[in-house]
Amino acid sequence: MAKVLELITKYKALIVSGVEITMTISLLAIVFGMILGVILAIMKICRIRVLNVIAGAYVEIIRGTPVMIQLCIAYYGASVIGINYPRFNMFGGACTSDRLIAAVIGLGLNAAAQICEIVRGGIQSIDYGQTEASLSLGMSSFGTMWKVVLPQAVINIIPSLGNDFVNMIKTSSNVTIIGLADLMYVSNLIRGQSYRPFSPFVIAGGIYFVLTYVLSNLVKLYERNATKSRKR
Amino acid sequence: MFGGKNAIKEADANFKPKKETDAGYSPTKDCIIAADKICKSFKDLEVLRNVDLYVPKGQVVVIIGPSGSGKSTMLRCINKLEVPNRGEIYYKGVASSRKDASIAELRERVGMVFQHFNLFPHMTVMENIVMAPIGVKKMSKEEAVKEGEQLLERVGLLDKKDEYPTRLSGGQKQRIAIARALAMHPEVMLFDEPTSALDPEMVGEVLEVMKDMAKSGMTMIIVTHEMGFAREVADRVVFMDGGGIVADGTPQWMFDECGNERVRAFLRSVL
Repeated sequence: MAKVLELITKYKALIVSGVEITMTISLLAIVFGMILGVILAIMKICRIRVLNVIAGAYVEIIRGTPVMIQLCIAYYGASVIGINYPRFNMFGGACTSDRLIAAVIGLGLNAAAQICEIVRGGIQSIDYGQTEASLSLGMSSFGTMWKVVLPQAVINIIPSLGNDFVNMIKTSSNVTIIGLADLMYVSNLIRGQSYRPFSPFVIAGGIYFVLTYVLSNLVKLYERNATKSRKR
Repeated sequence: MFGGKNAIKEADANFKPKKETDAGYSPTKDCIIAADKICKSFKDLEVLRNVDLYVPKGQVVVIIGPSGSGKSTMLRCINKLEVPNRGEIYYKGVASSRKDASIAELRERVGMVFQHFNLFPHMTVMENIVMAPIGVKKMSKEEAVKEGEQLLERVGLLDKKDEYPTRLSGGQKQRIAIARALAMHPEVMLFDEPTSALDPEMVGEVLEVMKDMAKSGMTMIIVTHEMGFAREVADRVVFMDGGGIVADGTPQWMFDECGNERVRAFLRSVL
């Protein structure tokens, strides 16, 4: 135990920057995934056939391929299709912007497929009678979606989105493959520097656990409040 | 919405209905709602076969018939919640399938009350009522609320204006749903089995509100199983069976004199 503490003190700066990067990419990726996911969900339920097919294919392909491959394509493959990420140092030189952007894009594209299904399910769980009632009052389809369906769907969607964010923190450890110094990457780094093959990973695992545990409990707390307020 | 030209608005301005006895009377031109040769199928199931229903302004029409006869589908075709496969819905003589006729404008003028109320559970009673007047008619909030209060007074539920629908009884919900539809100042009201989902002791309060509306001269098309109500309030009773209109006449004729065997059998089973 003392040795573990010693390890933590020695590599504190490295661990802290790893946690910072893990949290940053998770947060940015989930925001990016949410925007794209909502767009995909709308594409999937709208009445335009082409958009249904595109969104459906996107979801199937992303869900059916490993996130590591998606990250590799986002980072190494981007230049091939003419995308060059800006490159400068971030987090005091702990990482470079190109890797971070690629990580956010890769993880975000992956999350979008998941979020698309969550949002679509949330929207479709609302009784169609609600839509009909709103339309029968002369409301437009957009007004009906915005004022009647979405506000009700959001209450069901938010807990699932929260869980997705929790999962994202774990999934983000995959970015190690593109050399971004997240928590996973730095623990491997510490292993190499300290010749200790066990403790660094236990420390990292512990940190991941604390992060996800706290967050998933926050989600549960929200869920309980939301159900309570629905019964007003 | 469509710039200058708007067939439904024009219809309101140009509607000068002739009486049925006048020369040159045409049911599609001189009725406020005319459903003309409506056909509707869901996949292979033919629900409506060439149905005509012409409703003059101010008339209260009750549609009766066994379940599966196409009554609800007929009603839903009138405000285009279902789009007929063939046939035309005329509003004040204007064909609703015309390119310059907006369906939303039609629905503003043709209110609907549903079997399962379909109140918006995330809004208070007042928010339910003022949403469309503010959102569609661009009424100011104060004005809409003031009108909403009058409507709630009319259905006897002013004290519930800040409640959420989940706290209300079925009868109260349905009266709110009626007030919500009336807030758009519709010219025609459609009722799709408004009392079928209610506990028996709550049916009366809803029918009472509908009776008042009928007295005030509202054009109403009502699908219901309440035969007592039909006899008392309707100007005209239409019997549907197998996707078509089988009999059509005054309540007295329908309930007492009509000799059609399908009508008799149906009435025997429900009365």
